[in-house]
Amino acid sequence: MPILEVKELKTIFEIEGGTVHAVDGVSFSVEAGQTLGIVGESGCGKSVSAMSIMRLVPDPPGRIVSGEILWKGKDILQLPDEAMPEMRGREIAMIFQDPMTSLNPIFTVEKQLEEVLSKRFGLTGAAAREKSVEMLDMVGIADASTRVSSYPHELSGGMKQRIMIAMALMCEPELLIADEPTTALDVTVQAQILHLIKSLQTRVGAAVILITHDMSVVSETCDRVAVMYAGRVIETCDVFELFEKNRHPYTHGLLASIPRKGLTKDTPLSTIEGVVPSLIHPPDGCRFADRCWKAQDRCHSESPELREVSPGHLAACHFPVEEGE
Amino acid sequence: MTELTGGAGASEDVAILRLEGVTKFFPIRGGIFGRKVGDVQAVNSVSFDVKRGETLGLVGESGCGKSTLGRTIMRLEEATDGRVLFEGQDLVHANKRELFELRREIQMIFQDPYSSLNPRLPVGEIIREPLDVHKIGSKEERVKKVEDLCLSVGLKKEVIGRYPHEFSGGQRQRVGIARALALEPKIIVADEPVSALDVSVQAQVINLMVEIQKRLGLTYIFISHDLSVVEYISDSIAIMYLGRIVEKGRKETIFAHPTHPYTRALIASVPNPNPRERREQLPIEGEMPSAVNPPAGCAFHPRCPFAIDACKKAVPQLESVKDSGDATHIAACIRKDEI
Repeated sequence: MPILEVKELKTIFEIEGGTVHAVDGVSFSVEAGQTLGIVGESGCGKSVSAMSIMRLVPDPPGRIVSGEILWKGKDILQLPDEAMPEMRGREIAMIFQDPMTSLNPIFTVEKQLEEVLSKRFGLTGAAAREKSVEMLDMVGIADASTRVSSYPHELSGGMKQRIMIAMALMCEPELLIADEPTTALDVTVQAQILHLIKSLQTRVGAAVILITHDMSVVSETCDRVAVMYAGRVIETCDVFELFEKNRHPYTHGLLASIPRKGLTKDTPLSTIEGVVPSLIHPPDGCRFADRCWKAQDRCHSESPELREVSPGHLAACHFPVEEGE
Repeated sequence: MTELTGGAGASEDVAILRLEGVTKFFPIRGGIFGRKVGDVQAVNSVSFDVKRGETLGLVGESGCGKSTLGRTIMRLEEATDGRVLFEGQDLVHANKRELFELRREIQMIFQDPYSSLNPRLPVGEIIREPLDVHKIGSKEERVKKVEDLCLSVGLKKEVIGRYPHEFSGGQRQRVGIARALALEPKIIVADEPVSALDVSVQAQVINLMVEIQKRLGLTYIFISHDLSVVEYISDSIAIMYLGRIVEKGRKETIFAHPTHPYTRALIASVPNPNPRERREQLPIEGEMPSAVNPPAGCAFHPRCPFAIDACKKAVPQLESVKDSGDATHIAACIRKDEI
């Protein structure tokens, strides 16, 4: 049984000019200990999906309007508000793209870690300090006993992200949601952070949802993948299938537009022409139809369901890509 | 003034741009009297040639000085030392009038298509502005030129009256490119031109830049942290670390036989879009130190798995790499021929 199951989730934002259907009937699931990648371009709804799981969608203007988020079989959306702080952190933890703004600039690292430690474990004073140093050590911060007294501005982006990971894992959550955790970091530091997340995951046995726009990051780290487009999951399968036997024309196009090793500028890159449709007035039918090379009349009128195209492989397409296409 | 002949003789081998010891330090002031207490050594003694018609990829992590170098070439920053020679003419020491003329020859494209365009001007005027400033052609000719520029970057004529906020990121970057092309420059310095764009749009803009380069015979300095994009677009690549070039050579050489330990680590850190070839080992520990007090000797030695005592003593010079099969291949590592 999956540890987390999201079913037909719909989250909207009421803004001037209309209702944005940011997440519009999204379903996916995560098994215990597994890494699920949610991948898509900006505005596809991947971050809003994550915020919805944590019930952190700012209301107003945002609102979860329907669907279920089953955490070990129990619907998170039905929990009373008071139960959420306990849920967040202890059972499901989250780290964000920008470690620069996730830490409070006026307190030392120690102070911020201590807050969590005293709330969760009743640790204070020397015991809290000792635990803080141990945590920083675990996430690979050199000279942890000095660093613990630093203020956030004295730390590099990579170190701040390590501290966020330390905080997130402190309570040994069963699920870690990482929203673009390495996007703001340099490539050598990105490799270190992804490596760290993986090794800690193995150690505490947590499941991970990794949200990213970068297919190569997915390839390096994930077991399963859900590809999102314009507020919907359009394909979900195992990571090897995704790169080798993808079926949705959008996934296909997205992967083809990455400059591959050895390709030179004598061969133009594949592109996906056109732009993402408006989520205020999403088109009838398939949302990718206007940009799709396989689209036929039916695609413009009838919205494709996410259905199984081969065992464990789901795609929302009337005319999935065939092998060799 | 030095006249460049390029040595080899063949006209396509002549350097269109030559950097000689380009250095940019930013003073750090402190204390109540605002005395200078140190320097951020953003760019330190950078020398290289850019050949006419080629794309030089300038690669490195944030804070390595690649953007400052780009801005110093454009003289958006005043160099602390060194010379930037465009067809033999020194930009660093050019007077106001000379610089005004030289600016026609070198133009820049910026990373952020959201903040680099004036939001109060319709895009037609944004593209036309350089023509107005340089008083090129009659009014009618300028209007026609703007239409031509729009078409050449894949924008419809109808967009001319619209404002930047009405455009997507990819379209805005097209506007930025059209503006940069208005004065028919010979060199374009592109600072992370596709980094803010989604992958599918990124491919469109890269294709456009390649197509324009072929059509107009432009020379590009392409600044980026994204190695897969740089590998695709570049002919030559220079890798920067903490203000200095640590390795340079033809693209194929750099990716097939990276020599400097930093280049090796950088290439090994790029995530692989093939899940069957996952990285098992962590390529490199630590982060780039601050450019305020860079480590003595080779700035990379604290992170380098091959470092020996001698690496801490003197700054290694860029020297030819033996047996690389690429005469332009240089690296700044005293152990380059043994590791």
